[in-house]
Amino acid sequence: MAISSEEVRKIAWLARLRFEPDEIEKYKEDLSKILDYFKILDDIDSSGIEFTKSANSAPLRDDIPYQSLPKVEALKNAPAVKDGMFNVPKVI
Amino acid sequence: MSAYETIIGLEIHVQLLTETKIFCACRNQFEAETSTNTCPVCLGMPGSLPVLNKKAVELACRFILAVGGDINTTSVFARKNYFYPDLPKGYQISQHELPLGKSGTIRVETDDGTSGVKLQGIHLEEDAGKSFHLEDSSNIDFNRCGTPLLEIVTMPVIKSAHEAYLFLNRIRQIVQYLEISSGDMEKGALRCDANVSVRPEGQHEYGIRTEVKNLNSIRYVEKALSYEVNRQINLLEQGGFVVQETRLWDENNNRTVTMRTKEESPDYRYFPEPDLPPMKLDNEWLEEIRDAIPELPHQKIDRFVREYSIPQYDAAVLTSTVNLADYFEQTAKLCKNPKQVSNWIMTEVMKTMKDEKSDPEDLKVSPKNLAGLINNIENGTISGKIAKEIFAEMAFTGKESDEIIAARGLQQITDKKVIEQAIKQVLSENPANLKRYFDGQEKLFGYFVGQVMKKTEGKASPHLVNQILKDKLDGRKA
Ligand SMILES: [Zn+2]
Repeated sequence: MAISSEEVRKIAWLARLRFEPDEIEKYKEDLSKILDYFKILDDIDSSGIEFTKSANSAPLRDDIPYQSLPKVEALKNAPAVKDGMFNVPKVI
Repeated sequence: MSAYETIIGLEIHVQLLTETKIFCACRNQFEAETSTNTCPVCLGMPGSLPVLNKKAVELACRFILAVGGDINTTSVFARKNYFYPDLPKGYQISQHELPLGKSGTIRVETDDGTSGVKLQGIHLEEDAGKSFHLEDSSNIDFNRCGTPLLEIVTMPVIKSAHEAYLFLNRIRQIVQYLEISSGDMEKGALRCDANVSVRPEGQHEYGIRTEVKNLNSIRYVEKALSYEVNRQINLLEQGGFVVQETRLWDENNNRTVTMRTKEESPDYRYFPEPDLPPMKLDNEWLEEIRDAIPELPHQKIDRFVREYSIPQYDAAVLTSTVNLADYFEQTAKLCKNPKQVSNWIMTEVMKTMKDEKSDPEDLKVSPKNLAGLINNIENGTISGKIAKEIFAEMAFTGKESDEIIAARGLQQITDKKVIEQAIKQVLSENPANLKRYFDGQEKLFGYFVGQVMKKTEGKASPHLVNQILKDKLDGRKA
């Protein structure tokens, strides 16, 4: 399944990625191959099978609090920390 | 100017009152010390998996069933993809194609009767973190991230900014009655976005709509929506057209401003959440939830009108909160005249609560004591005016009215001889006014009544003073 340059650009934007022109060509091919790979699924007869028909329900958990991460641990993955919070480049 | 019809649809987010977040066991307390209620799930760390909170589902079902909606016993969670720093996973777990609830109606008492606002869909989702915008960066507190939210979407059937305000107020009341949310808009527990369009009266197609965001206080809702309706009408009147876009309410300048146009609108790429199988609910459990639903505001209003013969206006004020409604009922059951009880609650009681910023439960005047005071007026022991003084003392000390009346000797004077004596004195002390009265200044009657009341320290029965004074003056005139 062929993907257009325009579609690659849109997907890149949605993923907040910037591609050089030659990269767009490369991803056009790669993404088309990935979609082709998924075509294997077309061979399965899924008529009459709804995905909501799965036997199990999403499990429901009782509303009981459990230990959260210590503040220091929670902030370890922040790009920067300020006033005890995740500090990020200005939004708005 | 031609006539226009306004069409508003609302999207309301309600934070649910659970102990823990919707998909993890962190505490649902976002006002705690920053960054203390987070874990790998709500921080969006790779490899973590969401597990649904049963209580959040229960509270959502309670609302749906209470408003007469239908529950999809199989519903599906979906990923709503967008980038914003307060959303660590890069997507919000929400519901899209098969939401938990659909339909349902909310009754609103409008100025000309009642209207039923139909709901389109009701679903569960997770809240994002809270952003604090600084000079040159932003801070995010993820304590709020993962708070369970109920999203309620109405059909485009609301016909004015005022009706939207009334509707929102009613939603706030319902979630408080159902004890599923604090409903506190100022704290963000209830948030509202609106879709607004206008069309010339008689036109069948809808006009182009705009979405107004940031209606984060009950006070702004009506103001912001009126502004937006008028803005659209003015555009059309001047031969222009409305652009489909998202606008923000700017509370500092009392106007809506463009936030993003349709072209910039995000592509959310909803798809079923792979980490959560469809949620299947058991009918027996749903029946248990339905059985526990309390009386709703509009049902209370109708019952108060029916059982206590009070006006609908009074009933609506008295049912604004469950506690106030209970206070009224407990008092009214001990009195013969429920309208008198309603009057007292809507004036003195509510004023005291407002001054003290208190709840009926904290009030020092118990329903039994308020009933005692009202019965003292009804049986003529005290006048209404003295009763207000006594009430103030009751509210301060928590004493019963009988005790205050006895201690301060405030029993109403109903002895005609005593009243006649006071009238005689007042008239003899005011010969000039008396002459003016007989010369035609009949307004002075009120002055004489006032003087008599003053002379008896407000204790004379106003009814008897009026009656005896009139007899006396009429007698002299003739
Ligand atoms: Zn968590």
